Amino acid sequence: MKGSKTSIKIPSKVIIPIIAIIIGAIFFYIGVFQYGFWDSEASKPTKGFFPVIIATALIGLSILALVQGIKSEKVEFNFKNWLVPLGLLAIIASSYIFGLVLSIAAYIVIWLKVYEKQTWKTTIITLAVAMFIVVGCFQLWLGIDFPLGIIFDLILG
Amino acid sequence: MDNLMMLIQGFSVVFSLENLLVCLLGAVLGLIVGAMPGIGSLAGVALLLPLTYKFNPTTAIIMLGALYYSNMYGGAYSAILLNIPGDSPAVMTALDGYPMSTKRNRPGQALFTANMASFIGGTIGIIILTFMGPALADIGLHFGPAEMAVLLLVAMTSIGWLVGSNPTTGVVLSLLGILIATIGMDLQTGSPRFNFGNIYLLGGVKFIPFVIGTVGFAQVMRLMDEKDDKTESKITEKLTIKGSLLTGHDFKRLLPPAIRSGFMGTFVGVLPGAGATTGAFLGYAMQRAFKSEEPLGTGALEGIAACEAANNAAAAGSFAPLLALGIPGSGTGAVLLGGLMMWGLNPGPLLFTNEPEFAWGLIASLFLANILTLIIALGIIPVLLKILAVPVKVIIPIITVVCLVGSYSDTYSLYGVIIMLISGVCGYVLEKSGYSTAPMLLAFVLAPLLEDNLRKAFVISGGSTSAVFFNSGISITLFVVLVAIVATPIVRFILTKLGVLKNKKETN
Amino acid sequence: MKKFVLVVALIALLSVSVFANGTAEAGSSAGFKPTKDVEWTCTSKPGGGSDIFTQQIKEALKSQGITDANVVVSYVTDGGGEVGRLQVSMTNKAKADHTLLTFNSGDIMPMVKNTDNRIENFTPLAVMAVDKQLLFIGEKSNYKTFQECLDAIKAGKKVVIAGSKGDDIETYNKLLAELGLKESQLSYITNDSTSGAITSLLGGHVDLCMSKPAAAAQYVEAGKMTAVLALSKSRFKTPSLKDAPILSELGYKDVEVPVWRGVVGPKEMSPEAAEFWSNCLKAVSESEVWQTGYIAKKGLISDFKDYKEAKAYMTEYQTNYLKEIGK
Repeated sequence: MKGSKTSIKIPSKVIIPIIAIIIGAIFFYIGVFQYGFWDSEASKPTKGFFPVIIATALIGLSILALVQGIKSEKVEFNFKNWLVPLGLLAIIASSYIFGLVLSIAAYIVIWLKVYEKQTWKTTIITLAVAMFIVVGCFQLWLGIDFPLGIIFDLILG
Repeated sequence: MDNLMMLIQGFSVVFSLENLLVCLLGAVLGLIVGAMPGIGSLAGVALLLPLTYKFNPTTAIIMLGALYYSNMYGGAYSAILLNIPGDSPAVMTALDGYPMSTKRNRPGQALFTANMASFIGGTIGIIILTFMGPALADIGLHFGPAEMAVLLLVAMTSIGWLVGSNPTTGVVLSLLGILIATIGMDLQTGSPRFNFGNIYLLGGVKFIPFVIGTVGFAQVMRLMDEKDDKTESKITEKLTIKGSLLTGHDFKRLLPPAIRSGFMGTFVGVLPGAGATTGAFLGYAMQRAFKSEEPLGTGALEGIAACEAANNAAAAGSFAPLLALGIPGSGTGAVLLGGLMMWGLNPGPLLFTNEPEFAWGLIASLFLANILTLIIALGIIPVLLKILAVPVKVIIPIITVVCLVGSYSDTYSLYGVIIMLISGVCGYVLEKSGYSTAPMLLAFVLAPLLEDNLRKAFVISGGSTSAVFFNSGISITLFVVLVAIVATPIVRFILTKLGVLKNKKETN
Repeated sequence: MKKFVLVVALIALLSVSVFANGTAEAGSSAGFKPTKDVEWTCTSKPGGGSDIFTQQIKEALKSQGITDANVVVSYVTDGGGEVGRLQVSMTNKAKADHTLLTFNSGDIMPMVKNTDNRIENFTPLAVMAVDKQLLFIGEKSNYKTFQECLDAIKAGKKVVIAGSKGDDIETYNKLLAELGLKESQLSYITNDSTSGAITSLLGGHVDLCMSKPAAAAQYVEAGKMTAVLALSKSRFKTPSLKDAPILSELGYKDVEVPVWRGVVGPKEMSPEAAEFWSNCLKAVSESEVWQTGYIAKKGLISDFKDYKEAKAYMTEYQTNYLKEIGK
């Protein structure tokens, strides 16, 4: 049943050095033109001193890495690994409306029951453990407040 | 031995029932909090501080000491079992802890090693503290900005050991890590750097979410590859204490690194600005210079022993300047200091003279906390190992939630979560493309310290570079060490090419 | 399916009960009285100076029976504190009367320097304490008095001061301006906290250390630090500090940058609420537990200003600072 592609090949070994060069260039530019290199009046380095040196080294070495990367193979990325960050994004988005705790609960139930097709027993136990950690440990004991979301804010005024 | 007499008196203070119970409670709570990723020792101690308010000062301090200490133990657990460091010193523990637990199939032994090494390192640290506390603190004072700058340069070379097979990519990431660390408020000028007008970036990229993301979340993404594996869990028979015991041979392997790191870590803890994290990094790096039965990074027992001993020793060491001079060596120390001052106990030069009962009681309690924590920690190994028996499919969502909540707790907002998510995705892509992220984390921690001290040194020297490196006996010695470390591989390369040195490539 | 709904409902109920606060009732008309939970924001991490300050007030409010409102402290440390301050300033009318913020001189300076936020977006409620700095020498210092330092500078030597971030930098800038010196002659090294500066001094790496009395107290007592200059309009009274001269004794104008700790509310806070909180804070300030448990312990100077005085004081402080940094 291999109708759909489950992975994609990307030349990440080339892209990463390029991004590094861009970042290095940005930091170099801001460092040199906005922050300066040396404060001759006070005889001390400015806040641009260190970053400029590092950025220069970064650009140099990234070019080296780029050359290496061009000769290398493309890297294969599977789609399923990306479900994890997508799931997290969904929790975050939902937390604005329903609050973080409920979003986490919903995530666990949906992930385990719908995606992984686990039994109810497994799902409920996992949910209980997760709630214990989130609510019990972090919220009640350590006193960290999680966002309530728009709905609860409206209810509780 | 005057100090010994005082210490014995200190023990008599500690051995009251109330104090013993409180020490126990502190040890347990600290272990739990330390194990939770996102709650490092700083946040852990700060959050648990109010619990100590109801007790009298001496009792409260004993509980606090136990909390701080056991926090160091706890950080290793999630690092070894899940590859998610519980706090920043545990980052290094994960490097060998997790492979030992999974690839080498010795999770119980990994935990046991971490605990024993923590105990040994901690004990060495506390003993040194007892006999040399004030003297140590004095030595620490001799390390001014110039000396710290050169020392940190030496430490940075240890990154070289972590880059592994491809030095180019490793160094690229280290440099990137340094640049990321510069985002935020620049201390020396009180003005923002590289925040691109964003109010959140004014606070910089926070380390804990960054680490949880790069190491932990990326790990969860990788777990998706394993979840459908049909192989039976081979770990089931090892889930008992008996199955976790270290063999005599194992003990022989862990002692040398633990003892070495114990001494070095104590000293690192005394230095201004360097704490358990720096200690752990240096301990691990130092181990590279010595023989390990298995290569570091593949689950070598020596690796775990070296960094765990170092971080507990550094925790003990940081008590030296705190008690003797009233100078907190780290953020956690600052919280402890605040707590102590709230009870009217002012650490500092007068502490040992004015309140000897309290000061020695505290040191005695550290001994006690160390032992108690070890016993508890060993005892719960079977419980912890049960975690490994949980199927990967279930672990993935749970750890996702733990990463989420842990990084939220560090910043009390979703900002930490966003950082964690971005670093996690990037960490995953980087590792998959053959870029090792460990050096980036090390650089992220050490570089700001290096830059800060370097700039201060320049101010003091009036812009003269040589005055920085040749400021004092200490800085000259360190400079020589630095040159030696940098030059050795180059010299060796040249000599080999010249045929003077035989090529010893087979041991690598 | 039924089980699923039941379980979800159970968990939802559980979570709601965790969040449930007291119900909001209609407030009384004569004067303001808090009717729901008060959210107090602290923009730095728990365990720090601002946190201790906040917690002490919160404790005093309860233990002295000043108000039975439930105060909930929340930490919003993003953006170095700027996000928290911004959030409080923009609190809407409905919540403004029950929103408080710990606000110090060390907060207002980076705020106006690095953001567009100003004191006008807040309702000042009180100033609780004031602090001033001194310059100290250590056992290993080359100079014994501040005059010696000045002489050395004239002779071409460089003198280095170590201090903390925030307020101390401002005081240093004013000192430099008053003495008419260049930064390369009298330099400044910023530390994350005063204890770092003291470490540098004790280690003999810097010549002078700037510190408020509280942080230096025990070292002065132990003889490891000696005050050589009081950055104030009059000499300090405590025995260990009284020998430090003020600048006017050395032929200059006095330099003083008071460090204050206060409490503010959002701009939308009603005048009645402002008066209420101001009175509460006044009661705290006069209480025994505050005076002995916080002020005396920290070596601060208790200097209460109510909401009207605080507004004038903070606004003047902001104006002066803005002029200095050229905004």
